[in-house]
Amino acid sequence: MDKQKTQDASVFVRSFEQQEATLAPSVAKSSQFVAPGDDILSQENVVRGHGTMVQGTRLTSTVAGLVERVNKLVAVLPIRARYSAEVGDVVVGRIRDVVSRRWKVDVNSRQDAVLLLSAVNLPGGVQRRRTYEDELKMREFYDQDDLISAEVQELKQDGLIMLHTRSLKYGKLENGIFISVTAQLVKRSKKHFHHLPCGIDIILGNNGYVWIYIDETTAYAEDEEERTFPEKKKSAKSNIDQTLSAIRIRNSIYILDLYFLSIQPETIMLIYEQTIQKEIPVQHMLRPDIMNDIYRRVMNTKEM
Amino acid sequence: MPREELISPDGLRTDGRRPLEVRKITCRMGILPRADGSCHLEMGNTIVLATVYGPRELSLRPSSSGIIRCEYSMATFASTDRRRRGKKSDRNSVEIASSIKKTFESVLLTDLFPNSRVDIFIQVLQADGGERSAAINAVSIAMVNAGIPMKDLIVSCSAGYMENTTVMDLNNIETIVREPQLTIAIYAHSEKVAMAHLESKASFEIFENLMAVAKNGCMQVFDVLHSSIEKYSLRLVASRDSISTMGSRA
Repeated sequence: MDKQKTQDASVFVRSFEQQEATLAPSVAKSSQFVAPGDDILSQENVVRGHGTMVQGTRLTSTVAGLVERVNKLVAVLPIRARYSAEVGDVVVGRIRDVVSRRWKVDVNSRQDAVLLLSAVNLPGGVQRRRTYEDELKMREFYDQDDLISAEVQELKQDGLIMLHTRSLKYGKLENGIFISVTAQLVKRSKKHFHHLPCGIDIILGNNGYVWIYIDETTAYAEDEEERTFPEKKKSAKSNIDQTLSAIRIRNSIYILDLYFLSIQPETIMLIYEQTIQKEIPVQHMLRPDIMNDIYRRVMNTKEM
Repeated sequence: MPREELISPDGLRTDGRRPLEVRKITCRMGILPRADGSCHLEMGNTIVLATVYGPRELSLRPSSSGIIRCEYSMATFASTDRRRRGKKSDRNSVEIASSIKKTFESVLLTDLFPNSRVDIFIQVLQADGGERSAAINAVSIAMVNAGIPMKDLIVSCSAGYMENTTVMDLNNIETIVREPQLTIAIYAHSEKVAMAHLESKASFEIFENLMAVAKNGCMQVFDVLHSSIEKYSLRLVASRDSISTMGSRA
């Protein structure tokens, strides 16, 4: 492993510029690339979708991206943008504020999402009307700065996102690592809760927020008594190897995000395994020279 | 002030350009990973860093369309001038910030993000004339980088009249001269004027001339910016797709 530290402070610039050399020029596929204001090539009477607008007789783009056509619908998907929600998306969010009967949740979107008191499962799992006492106890469920996982329940007319956590898989997130990535790198799929082969669990939020944790229910055979105090027992038992591999996963995701590579369990494991193979210690993973090395290796294995 | 000659007998300017030539433009998008959009733009020796955040939560009263905020500052080391500047309260900075804010209010589709705001931060790292147009170009690219919907790409260029010649994209030496100088920002495709800023009086013929030259400059700037947006974007797409196809195969 080379000892020399990179002198160049503009790490991020370099990583993108070096990408050019390794990528094949077979870029543009079939779809047309447009920048804001560019004409979109199209026939008459198309239905215009997101990212397009009509200026006089021209159909133009409003963002930079590839033109997406589905039958008569023409839309432009921005390459990088804030998260735009769809009903059913799994998101990870941070409670920004507790206001009357609702939580405001930061989900990396245009505005804070709203989680109504009536859209959460009360502890104990009893279905009942929300009382005034519940309203007073809201901070006990989710307090400011708590992380939660939730699902998009509804989109309001003005784009306001309504969340719900009415399922046992959603709720407060504790004892794990949070990392935020570009939302466009996380594809919508059937599954967003993944158990990785290395024994770590991740939640890939559609909004680009990722939660990495060790699921105790699968990791240890715990008895009932232990499960009631998961926090305390866990810190005592917490296995250093597992913690390190959780951090390795976190760093792998960071590398994927930095090089704008698609973030899925397979790609995360690809980086993860590459660093294990090369015996790179967790604390050195994010050194610019090493990241570049890993990136090159992964791209090379791909060509084989 | 003893006037140097700004245009040599051969018709070349102080930095070796011809009158109708813009400076070399280098543009790097997305260099700040924590910002929604960023752009580091060099126009000759003028270097500007623009950062865009948003659209994000607006904590004020609700509004039916998005709100834009803009902050412009010049680094203390940006010019050889030893005057204290760079503070936000600097009159010149405030003026430029508000004109950039207005320019982008007209071009961004703010109706699409009600109750949100977009924050623009501009840092001039090196000042060698044309900071206003460099800043507008940089912000325009940063907006594209942030994926904020807008009607058209905004491009900007300056033009000046000196020694009976109209020249485009003025540098610092040419800016100091007290002659008519025009900075415009236009919509790249429709060529509508989004912003115009004229220093000192100009006769109608000179003004028309300046306008034409500045527009010509804008189109030259547009070619460079558009191709760098395309290059950057296609690289990202290629990168994203390259590994995901592999992922599904594995």
